[in-house]
Amino acid sequence: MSNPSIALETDLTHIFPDMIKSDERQGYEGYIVEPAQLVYFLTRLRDELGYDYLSSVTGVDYLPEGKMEVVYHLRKSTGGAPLVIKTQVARENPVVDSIVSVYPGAEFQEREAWDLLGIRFDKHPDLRRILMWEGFDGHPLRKDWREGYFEEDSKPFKSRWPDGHFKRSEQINPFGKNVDYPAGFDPETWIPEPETALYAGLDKMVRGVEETAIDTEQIIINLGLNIHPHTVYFEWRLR
Amino acid sequence: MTEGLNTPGYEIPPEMQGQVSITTLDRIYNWGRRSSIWPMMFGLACCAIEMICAATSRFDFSRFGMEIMRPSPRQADLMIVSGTVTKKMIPQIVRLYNQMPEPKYVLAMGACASGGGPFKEGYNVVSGVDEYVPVDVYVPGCPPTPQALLNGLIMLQKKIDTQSLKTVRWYSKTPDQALPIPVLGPDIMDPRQYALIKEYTQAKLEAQQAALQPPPEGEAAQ
Repeated sequence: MSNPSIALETDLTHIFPDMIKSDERQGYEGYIVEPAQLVYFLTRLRDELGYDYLSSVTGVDYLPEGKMEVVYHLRKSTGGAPLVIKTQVARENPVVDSIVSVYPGAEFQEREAWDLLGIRFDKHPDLRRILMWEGFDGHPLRKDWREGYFEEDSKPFKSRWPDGHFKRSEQINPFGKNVDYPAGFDPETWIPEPETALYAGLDKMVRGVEETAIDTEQIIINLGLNIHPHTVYFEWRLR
Repeated sequence: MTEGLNTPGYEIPPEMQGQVSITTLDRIYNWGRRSSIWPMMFGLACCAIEMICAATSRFDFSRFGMEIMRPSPRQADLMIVSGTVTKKMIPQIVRLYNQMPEPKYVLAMGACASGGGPFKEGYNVVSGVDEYVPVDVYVPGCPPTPQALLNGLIMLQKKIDTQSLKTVRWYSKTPDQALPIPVLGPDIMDPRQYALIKEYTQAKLEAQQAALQPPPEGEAAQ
């Protein structure tokens, strides 16, 4: 292998010959695992090989190949280079098993992949949008998603160079804002969803967290409006 | 201080200059307001750090009367929008603006609040807080230096100096309308643009349906 830090550890394809294969694309590293064996494989990595720290879960959109990929970076808490694991699913209706049962820290990161790329995670305890709001139309980081101000794929735009007929984005967009709405949408008859999704996380925290490892009482402290950076620092120290 | 208030043309004898001033009602009114602008503690992102620097001892804006930064909008005169305004946050910003009592001012600090900044095409970014809230002073910069923010505040003070009791909006006969709160729908929606949104989406739907019609029946005979 070209990457020197991976060369020092054993080649995983020898340990798990029928589950994974090495990623042979030019400039890429890591192992590609079948989606059906993902949870089993990661459980074995965590228990047998000592990769107990999930560093990140991200998604990749391959529009030309028609695939969605989920990339996991695993590390050992004893140190070392990250191990890169990938699964690939079809881009139409992508579904991947959630690994929250193996690494609880994947919960928010899988929510982000759902929010921004539309990859569904099966058996995720609470799959809802995390950066955008519930009810937002579309998955913004997909390669075929266009924002309201979209003009062309790359600069310089044909409207600006070589003739230089510059038009501001606000003038081109009919609303003067970076927004777009789906066809047939009627704002007057549309009923907004109640903010239950927004408060669902808080609800879970108030009601359902009995089974923790530490046997203590739990209280919720409302520190109010934390918009001053000094108070935000204090809140982090308290945690 | 009373020297600045004195209307030129009326000479006050030197021994009385510390106690007597001949001035207009507008000047007294504006002098009181411009010398004690209380900003609202409203930092959104990186520009907030520069706003804090402008508030601390090196660049001190309490010299200009702004030392009391109020976290509550009910007690603030000036909302310094410092940082990127996201679509999720804009309903809260408009609510806070509505809760501020008159006379109120908005200062858009930094490139993001003025016009979207480096994140103008972002999927969750409002390109300029002036799309929803009326802005009085724009301070460019990414982030603006504390000196630039102070310059902006001084410019706001000069703007206040030009206002007159006869023409300010809070003493006008028409009642002041609260700004409508933006709604988080399929994208952020300004209630003032509902008619325009409906027209646009209807036209889009019709164009889609027309595109599905088979080509020989080109002229759409609805």
